[in-house]
Amino acid sequence: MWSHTTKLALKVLWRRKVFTCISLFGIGFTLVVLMVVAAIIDHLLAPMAPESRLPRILNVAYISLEGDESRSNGGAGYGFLDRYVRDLPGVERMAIVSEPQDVNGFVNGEKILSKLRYADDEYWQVLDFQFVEGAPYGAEDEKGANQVAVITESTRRKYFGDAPALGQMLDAGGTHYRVVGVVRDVPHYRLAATADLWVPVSTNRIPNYREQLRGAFMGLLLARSRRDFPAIRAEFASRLQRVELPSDQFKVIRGVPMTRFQELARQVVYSEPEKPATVRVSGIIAGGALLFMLLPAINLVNINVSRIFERSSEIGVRKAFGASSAHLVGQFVFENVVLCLVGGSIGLLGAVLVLGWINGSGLIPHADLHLNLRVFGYGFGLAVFFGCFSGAYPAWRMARLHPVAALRGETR
Amino acid sequence: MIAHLFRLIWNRKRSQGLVLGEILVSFLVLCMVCTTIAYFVHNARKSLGFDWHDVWRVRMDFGEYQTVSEQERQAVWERLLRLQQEARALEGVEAAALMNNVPYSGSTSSWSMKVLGRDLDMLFGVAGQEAPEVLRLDLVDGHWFVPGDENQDWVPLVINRDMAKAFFGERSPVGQSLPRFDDAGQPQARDEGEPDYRVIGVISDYRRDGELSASPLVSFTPVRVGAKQWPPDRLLIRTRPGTTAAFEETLSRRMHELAPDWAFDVRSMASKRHDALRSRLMPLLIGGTAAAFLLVMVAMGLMGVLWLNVTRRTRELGLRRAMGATASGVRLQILGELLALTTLAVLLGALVFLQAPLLGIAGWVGWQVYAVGIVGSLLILYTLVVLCGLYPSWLATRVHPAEALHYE
Repeated sequence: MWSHTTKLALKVLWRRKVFTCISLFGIGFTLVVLMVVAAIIDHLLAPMAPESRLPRILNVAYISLEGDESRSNGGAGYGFLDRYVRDLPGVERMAIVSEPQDVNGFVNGEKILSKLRYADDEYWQVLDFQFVEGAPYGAEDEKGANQVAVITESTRRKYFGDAPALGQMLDAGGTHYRVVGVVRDVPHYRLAATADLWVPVSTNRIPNYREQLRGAFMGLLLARSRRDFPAIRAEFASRLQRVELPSDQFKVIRGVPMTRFQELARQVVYSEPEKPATVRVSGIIAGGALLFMLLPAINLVNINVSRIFERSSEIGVRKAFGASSAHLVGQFVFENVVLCLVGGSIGLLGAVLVLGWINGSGLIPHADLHLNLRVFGYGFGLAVFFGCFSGAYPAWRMARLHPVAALRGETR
Repeated sequence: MIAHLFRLIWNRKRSQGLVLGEILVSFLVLCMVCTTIAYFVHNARKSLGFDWHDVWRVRMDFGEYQTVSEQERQAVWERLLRLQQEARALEGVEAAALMNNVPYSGSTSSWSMKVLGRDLDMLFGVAGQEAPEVLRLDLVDGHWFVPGDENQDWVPLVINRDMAKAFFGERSPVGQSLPRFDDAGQPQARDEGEPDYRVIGVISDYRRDGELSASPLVSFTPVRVGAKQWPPDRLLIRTRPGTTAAFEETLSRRMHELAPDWAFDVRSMASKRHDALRSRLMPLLIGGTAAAFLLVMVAMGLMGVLWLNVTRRTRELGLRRAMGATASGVRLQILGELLALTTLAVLLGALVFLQAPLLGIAGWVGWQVYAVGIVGSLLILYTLVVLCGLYPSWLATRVHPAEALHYE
């Protein structure tokens, strides 16, 4: 039965090649765009090296100090994370790492602009970097404020050409660091991991950063499992009550440990930390995708409706021999879905090309976007959805034709 | 004739409705792209109000300021002033000024106010004494800050022409206090304890977001040193023409010597400008490409639908030919129907655009730009639609009357 319907669908599509091509162009283009967007979102949110443990990680990346007249919000301070967030129950490890900062280095009069991160030794345990040379720095380096650095392969190329860098000194932001490890480049969308070089937090020379509540740091909490998240948040909330505020300028401190998606969603809609923004952001993404599909869908519906005419005799015969309306609707929607799946394959191919182009263009530094099974699944789902979305109305129109009129070739 | 065309459309309203919807949505997409392009072109033709050549920007990261003690704040200020002086003394430097709201930067210090029913957003920045030399600002009235300005019991203000117009109309603002407004935007006397901002100079413009952006309302106050003030975190430096990137290294090293525990980022204004332009044009490029593909898709779809419609109307067209209609008459009928349909879609689109002033879009980009964008998209839309109709209408003239009437 299915093979028969599929065969019929392909025959119908083959009959008018020009129109099939027009439809496929539209479907293919729509799905290319949607799949590229889906791939980018997937790469932002999915666990991938060096953030393979992402599903178990909570971020403390945003806190807010509030008083009657002033308000200071943004990244967490090292002091806050160090004094109040350590040893939460259910947390296996906590890493403290700064936001990437631009630093300049000079080699033979040539400027090298790098993103530098201050990261403690736990950072290398929470995330799983792939070392091509050497190893991460350890607790002694962090304690002793040793000027050591882990760099990426492209940083190594900029400073040392292709020579091995282990043990070499490099100048970044006016400080000289000894290279102890080289890791693979990290794409910019691996938000907690991306940087060009990492140095111990203790080498940071901002005065009294160890006391600050607000600063440019974030805490990465690696939980034993996702089931511990509520308990971690509850304990975090109760610890906020105990925070000693620096002056009477501020009365409350607020913040919530968040997953990657929650944190990104908060940034997208600028919501308060306590209000989950993920539902809204998912809605915005879905709404945007639907809006984008609108024009291609109308286009496809138009072509399909016009093509009813061609097939009126077939419909008439089938109806005259007792096919039900529901059956016909099913058949036509199915045909449209087949068309969309063919278009989807074209879209998939196009998406591979576009993603390859993005990776090569440097638009997103060190991008390594590719299609995986999950994105492939999104693409398949989108194609089927688009097929049903744009096939329903024409199918309904077709099925409503009166057999006698249909046999005579009238379509009004 | 035209009424008749509309009747023909009405008779097949269901299938035409979809085509209408398609043209309508395409028109809306076109308008967005065209208005953006017109907006950029319009902006690019205006003067920047400053000169970015041979200017270097140092971003200074002095750590947390808001929550630290008064002594620490004082220390930050002393360092900043020292850095400015030392940079000024470097070989090849013509001028140096501490500043915020610097050109091509994402960080903004601004001020929102309701003035006589209009919501105004103003840049509210701090600029050192040498800022006019560094950025070659064009002072059209009054004078720039002079030493001692910061010690008055009023706060001197330099504003741009647009801001002068918004607050003072055609009067000369120099020497006047900036009027105060309450929350509802009505004039109000200055409260006790509120600073008295007095305009001392007017610059022609300061379009800090660059060539593609609109003219903002701009105000500058002098650098006022003190623990209660927020320190500017950028240092701008003008060098002699022909200074190379090697200067960056000298400057960078000097800054690190003077403040080893601060982080610095030295960039040339030219490279900041390049990045800023790219970040403006990229979305337009991506959006424009997507829109172009959508239009090609719509055009192909439209042609397909017209083609099928013509084959479907063989009998009607054949009858017209048999009754003496010429080939060009038939062709005009098909094209006319299409144009009538497009006009209908455009009129519906106009209903949407009439909402734009209510949403403030037109006020934001300006009426002229908005009009140019709409006219541009109309031209593109009609050209595209006519191109789509050419082949199907030619096909319609190929209908042979005898064959057509024989059809059934």
